[in-house]
Amino acid sequence: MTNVATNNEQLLRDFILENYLFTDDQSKLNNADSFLDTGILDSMGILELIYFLDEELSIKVEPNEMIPTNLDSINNLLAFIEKKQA
Amino acid sequence: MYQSTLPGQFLSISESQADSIALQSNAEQVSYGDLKRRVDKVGSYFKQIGIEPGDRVALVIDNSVDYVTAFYAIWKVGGIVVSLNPQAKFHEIEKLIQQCEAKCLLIDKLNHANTEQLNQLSINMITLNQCDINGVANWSTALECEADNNWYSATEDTLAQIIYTSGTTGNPKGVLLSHGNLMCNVKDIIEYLELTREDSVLNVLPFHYCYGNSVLHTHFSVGGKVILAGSMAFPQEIVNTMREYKATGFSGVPSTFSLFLARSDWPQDPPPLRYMTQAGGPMGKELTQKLLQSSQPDTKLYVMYGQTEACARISWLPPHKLDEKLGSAGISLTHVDLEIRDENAQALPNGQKGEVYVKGPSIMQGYWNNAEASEQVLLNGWLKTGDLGYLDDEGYLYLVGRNSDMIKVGAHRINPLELEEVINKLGFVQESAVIGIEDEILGQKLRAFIVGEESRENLLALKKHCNEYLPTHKIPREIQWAEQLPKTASGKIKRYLLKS
Repeated sequence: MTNVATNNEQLLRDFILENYLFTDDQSKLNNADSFLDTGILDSMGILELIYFLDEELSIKVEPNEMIPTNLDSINNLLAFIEKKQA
Repeated sequence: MYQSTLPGQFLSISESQADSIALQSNAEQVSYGDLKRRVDKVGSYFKQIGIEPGDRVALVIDNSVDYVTAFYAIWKVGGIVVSLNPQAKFHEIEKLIQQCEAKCLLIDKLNHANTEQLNQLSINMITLNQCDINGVANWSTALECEADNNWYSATEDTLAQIIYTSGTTGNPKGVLLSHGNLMCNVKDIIEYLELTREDSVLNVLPFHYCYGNSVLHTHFSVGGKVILAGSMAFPQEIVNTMREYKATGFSGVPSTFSLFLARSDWPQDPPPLRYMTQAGGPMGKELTQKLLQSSQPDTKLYVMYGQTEACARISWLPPHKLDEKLGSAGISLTHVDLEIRDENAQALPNGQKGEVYVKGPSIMQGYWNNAEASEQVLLNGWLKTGDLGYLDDEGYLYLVGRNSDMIKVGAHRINPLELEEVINKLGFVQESAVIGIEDEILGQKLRAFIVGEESRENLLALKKHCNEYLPTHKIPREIQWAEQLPKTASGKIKRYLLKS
């Protein structure tokens, strides 16, 4: 994994842990966990995540990109970001 | 011709339209005949475990074929359905189960609780997941039970359902609805929406709220199709599903439509719907106009107003009046009488502002086990809604606010007192106040004012605490520390000052 990818991963994990799981215990979040299935995020949370991607990583999520495959876990997000930044 | 109750209507439709599709969930299609067979089996299982007429059965499951199966199976044995929010935390579910004295609980996520907590409930429990917990039955057992065809003969007076609302004081109240209440409201809605068996509605509304509940039963009562869709977190997928399954109708709250316009290709390629319904709080004029401009010219938009205590719907705005009466909640339903009254409960003439009172066969029986609260809102057959408004010269209702401090976040109606009770349990919190502040998409979002020592540790502890005791939609998105809260001489928080 590149440094950029590692940084993105940590940035995303910290955002989810701090704002939705309210902890800094890294073991509470698995990169493969579905945000919606596990109840970590609801539809409001997904919107906030999109704003976060825009503000922190300058990634604009187009309507047709708002799908679980792109946004519903840390792993999905990392793959999506990599694709967008390629 | 309608039967006098919804289970009677379901039986009739499942015979006359056995092969018609009742539910579509992803690729799975379930016909009315098939659904009836499932309901018969689960109903027999309920009988086997001792569910009797009048018993309360709690459903804590997401919208699904299983939800609908269990719902009608409870009615098959004459039980009262208690649908609870599957996102709620276990302690909240436990409180409501105890409040309604449920005899059975059907739950689909065991992560709500640990084994010990579940066992403490000491009621029949069925889970949709495979589970080895002692005393908890698997849903598959119910689905495999030998079916019988004996349905309880419900009448209009038979109690049918309890729907919990946030209420205007801290504790949720169980709105008790009879079969007569439900059927009357369903028939009125079918009439103005002109629903037929050809209709198929795409539903994203939770069935445990009265809006989703009425979407399900109105379409079932005409033998139409209900398409179950996923979360509004992914609006484009919902729009794609509408197109894929050729939905003729869609029901949403203002934030749903706002999301479609902002986060999907709806404006460029509006789905070919016959009707859209909007309820769950007022939709701004600008959004209403934008939605109409961005939809197919022949798609009708029905603006509606209602309340759980009135079974769901109270009034509707005929689509052809939308331009002329923009901002109005419309005219009352066929079987609903509506008056505007002053603080002495005296009727006011058109044009004068007061509280909305409604009367009719769809008004609730009262709040479950809460005579005091029932008496406060049911006066000589009239329901005191707590909503403020006026009627114009043609009898069109315009709402101007509420008598209470309820906050509307997306589809959720939230009582700030309930949240403050939870927050105030923290040792470092002297007192708190939660208000709704404007949000472009959701209508309102929650902001909590906390009087207590400000620190990062306390902030994290507060968020953790909220996460432990409140479902996600009730967790304040913004926290503001305050030295004190503005209050009246009698000590009541002046929320309007916090909003400014």
